[in-house]
Amino acid sequence: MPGPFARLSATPIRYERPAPKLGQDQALVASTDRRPSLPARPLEHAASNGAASSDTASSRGPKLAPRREIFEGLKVADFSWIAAGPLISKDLANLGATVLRVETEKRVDTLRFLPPWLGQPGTTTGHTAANMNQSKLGVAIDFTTKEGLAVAHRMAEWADVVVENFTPGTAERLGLDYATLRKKNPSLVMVYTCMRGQTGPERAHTGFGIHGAALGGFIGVTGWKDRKPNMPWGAYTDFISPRYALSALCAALHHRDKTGEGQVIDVSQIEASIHYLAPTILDYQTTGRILDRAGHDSEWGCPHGVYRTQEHERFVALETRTAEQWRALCTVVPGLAALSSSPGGSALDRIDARIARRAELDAILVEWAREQACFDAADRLRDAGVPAYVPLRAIDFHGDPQLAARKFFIELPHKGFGKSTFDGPVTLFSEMPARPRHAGPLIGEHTFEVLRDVLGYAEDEIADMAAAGALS
Amino acid sequence: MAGEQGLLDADLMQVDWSTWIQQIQQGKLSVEDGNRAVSALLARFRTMTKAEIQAEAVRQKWLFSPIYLAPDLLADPQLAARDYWT
Repeated sequence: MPGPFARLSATPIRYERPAPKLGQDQALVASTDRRPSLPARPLEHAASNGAASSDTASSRGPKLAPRREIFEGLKVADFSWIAAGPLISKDLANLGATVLRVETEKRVDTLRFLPPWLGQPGTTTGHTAANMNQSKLGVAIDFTTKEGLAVAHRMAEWADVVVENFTPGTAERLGLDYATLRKKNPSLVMVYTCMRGQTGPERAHTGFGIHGAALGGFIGVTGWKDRKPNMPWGAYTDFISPRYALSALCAALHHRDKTGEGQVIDVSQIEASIHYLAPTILDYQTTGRILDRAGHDSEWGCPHGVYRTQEHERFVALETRTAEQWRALCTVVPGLAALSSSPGGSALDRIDARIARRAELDAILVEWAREQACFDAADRLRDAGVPAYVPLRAIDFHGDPQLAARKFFIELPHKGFGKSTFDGPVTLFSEMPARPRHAGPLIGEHTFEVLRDVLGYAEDEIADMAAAGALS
Repeated sequence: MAGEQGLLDADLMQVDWSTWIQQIQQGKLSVEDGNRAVSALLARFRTMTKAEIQAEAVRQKWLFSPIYLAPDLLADPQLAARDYWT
C-alpha cells in the first residue's frame, strides 16, 4: 500500500491496522464509554508564539477573545515558490493566518511568468500568481545578502510555521533549514515540500509538472492504448500534494498546541500523489495486471465516455453502471432501446454483457450524440436517470448555475491590475468561513509595513537594509 | 546528456543545448540540426530501460523522466529508500 503522504518528525503517520471488515469492531464500539472526555470550550487565540493554547496556557494567562477565523493569530513565513508551496499557505491566509509571502526581484518566482495576463505580460499582471497567493502579504528579501538572511531569521523566529519548497539542500546552504531556525524558535513547524522528498538517493532530483506526473505514475495510465501516453493537465502532483501537506500541518499544529513541540514535515509531492493510484497498485500486486492507458473505457461503467455533439468542440460525458441507468439510457437513445428490445437484449442489463459489446454500444451513442445539443442532451439524460454532464470549458464556469449558487467565484483587488475574479474557498466552514482579503501581492508590496509593524525594525534600519540591496 | 562523449555528432557537441529552442527561433540553430540531436537522444533511449533512464536523469540532472507504471513504482529505489510502502 502507498505509505505516509507526509513525514512528520515528531508525530509520524502510523498505519496500525488494515481497514476493518464490515462490523468487525461492533462489540468494541458498543462497550466504549461515549461520554466526552473534556467539556467543550471555545477556541481562543494562540497566547504567544509557540505557547500552547491548552487548558494550562489559558488558565495562566488573561482571558482571550474567541477566534473569529480558524487560523487567526497563526503566523506563517512563506519561503516557497511556484505552486506546491504557495497553495499550502493560500488556504492558511484565507482562513485568517498572517502569511508573509517572501520573494525576490533578483530571481523572480516562475509563477509570475504564467498567464493569463490582465494587461501586458509582466511580473505585476499575472492572474495565476495573484490567485495562488490570495490574502498574503508581499515581502521582498534577497536571502543571499547577510542583511536579507538576518531578516529571514527574524521572520522565522516570529513565525509559527515556515513553508519552503527549495531543492533539497538549498535551505541548508542558505542557512534557512529547520536545524538553524529552531535554535531560536523550538516550537516552529517547518514544511518542506519537493518532488521526491528530503531523503533518499534522488532527493535532489527536480523537475516540472510533467516529471512529477511521469514518475508518479499518472501519465502511464492516461490516454489511449494505441497512442502515446498523455499528461494530465497542469502540474498534477503540485496541485494534489498541498492538500495533504495542509492536513499534515494541521496535525503538527495540534500537537504543538498540546505540547509546545515543533517539528519538520517532509512532503514528497510524488509520494502524496501516489495515493490517488492506490487501486492500480493493489490490482497489480494481487492480480499481476498492469493498468495501462484505456481511453475512456471503464471496468465499472459501460457505456462510459465522452461523445461529440452537434456543437463545435462540445461533448457530453456519461457513465452507465447499473441496470436502472442502462434502461434509463435506452429511453433517451432510440438505437440502444432497439438493441435492448432485440432478442437476447435483456442481457445488456448486466455490465459484463455491455462491456462485451462496448464498441457496438459506443457506435450507437456516437451517432446519436452528433445530432444533439450538448446541454440539452445532458439535461435529458440526467432527467431520465443517467449520470451525464457537459465537460465544461473555461468559458462555462462563470455561467455555471451550481457554482453561481454557491458563490464560488469572488472578486478581489490587486495592485497590479485592479479588481478581478478569482477562485473562492473550496471548503465552506459554517461558523468561521474563509475570508479572502485581496489577491496575491506584488513582489515586496508590503515589505516596509511588515518589517516595521510585524518584525519590529526601526525605519532607519529598514532604509539601511534597502540601501544594501537586501530588500528587493 | 547532450554533452556526453559520442552521443552527438561533433558539430552538435558545440551547441549550448540549454537554449536550443531560443536558438532555433533566432535562426542560430537549424531545425535540421535540432532534429538530428533529438533523433540521437531517442536512439539512445531505445537502448535503455526505464530504471537506467531515471538513474542517468538523476546523475546528470536531465529533465527527462521515464513513464512509470505500477511495477515501476514498486521497484523505484527512491520510494524504497524512504521506506514508503506499508
